[in-house]
Amino acid sequence: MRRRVIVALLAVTSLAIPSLAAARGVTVTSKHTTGGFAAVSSCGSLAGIGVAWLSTANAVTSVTLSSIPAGCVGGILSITLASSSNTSLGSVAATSVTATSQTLSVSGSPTATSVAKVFVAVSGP
Amino acid sequence: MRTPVVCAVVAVAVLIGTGTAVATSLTVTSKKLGAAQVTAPAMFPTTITIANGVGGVAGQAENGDIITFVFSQQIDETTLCSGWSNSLSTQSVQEGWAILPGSGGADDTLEVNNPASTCANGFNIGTVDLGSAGYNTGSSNIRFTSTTAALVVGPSTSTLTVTLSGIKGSGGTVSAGSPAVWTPDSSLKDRSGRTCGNNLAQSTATVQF
Repeated sequence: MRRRVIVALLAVTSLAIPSLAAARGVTVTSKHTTGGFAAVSSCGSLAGIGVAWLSTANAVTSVTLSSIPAGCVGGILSITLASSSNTSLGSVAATSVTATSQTLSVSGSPTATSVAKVFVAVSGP
Repeated sequence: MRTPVVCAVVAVAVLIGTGTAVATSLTVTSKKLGAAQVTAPAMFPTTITIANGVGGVAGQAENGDIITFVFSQQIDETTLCSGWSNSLSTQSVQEGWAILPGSGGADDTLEVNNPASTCANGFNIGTVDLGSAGYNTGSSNIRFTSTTAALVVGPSTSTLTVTLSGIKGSGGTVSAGSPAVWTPDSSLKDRSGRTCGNNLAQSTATVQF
């Protein structure tokens, strides 16, 4: 559904000098404005993604994701590793999904035994 | 199925100086978006260190060198050695370990090659890729026939300390390599029945022993 909206705006300039007051008209160039809403769908069931990691002196240095939905290949993936209280401990920067299994470097050197939750987000493709 | 979403953003700029207001629009075609919490590993190897023993040659596997394995959980001791029991928090066994030469230029590996009789189903610690082919430059295993493996199960972790002993054969000396990577055995479990899955641990050192 499209609606035509004409935006009119008046700017009122108030006094710079106490004895004078003036209202200045503002010319408005109207545009068409369209609004809409639709549910956003996921590229697949992300909850089924498997996570394994490589620990170096009890710090997570990389994660390997498995069972990434094939429909997510070509999308952009990001990961957050968090504590049980949802404090972010480390993350994987947004990266392209190139396969259904992928190994990614982790920044932040999170202590492996402190990581209780892993959140995965994919936008696109 | 893709659902196009159109977001219209209207920016209104008021230019005081010219008295002109301009409305501009930005059209965005949305993509799919999803997020989920996935299962974080609970049972996994946290640390492996392979240290040179007192008076030993750095970079060469010898008697007295010490390998330390740490798990993130209390392990089910019976899955490491069937003759052990979880009723004890410390265990010790003497058995044979070996460094196997990598074939075709592959890295050498360290593993148990002759478990003690009390561990009838093997000593299921897994294998260690040593990060170099230079520790065993021969064609047969370097064996450590009387190696001691001592387990300590703490309140929340488990630590196995292995002291090499009874060397049969001799190896090379490595001056530059890669971190060692420990792959736990798939039959080893914690006390909740969880395996290590595909989780791995690697050393910080690039030269072992």
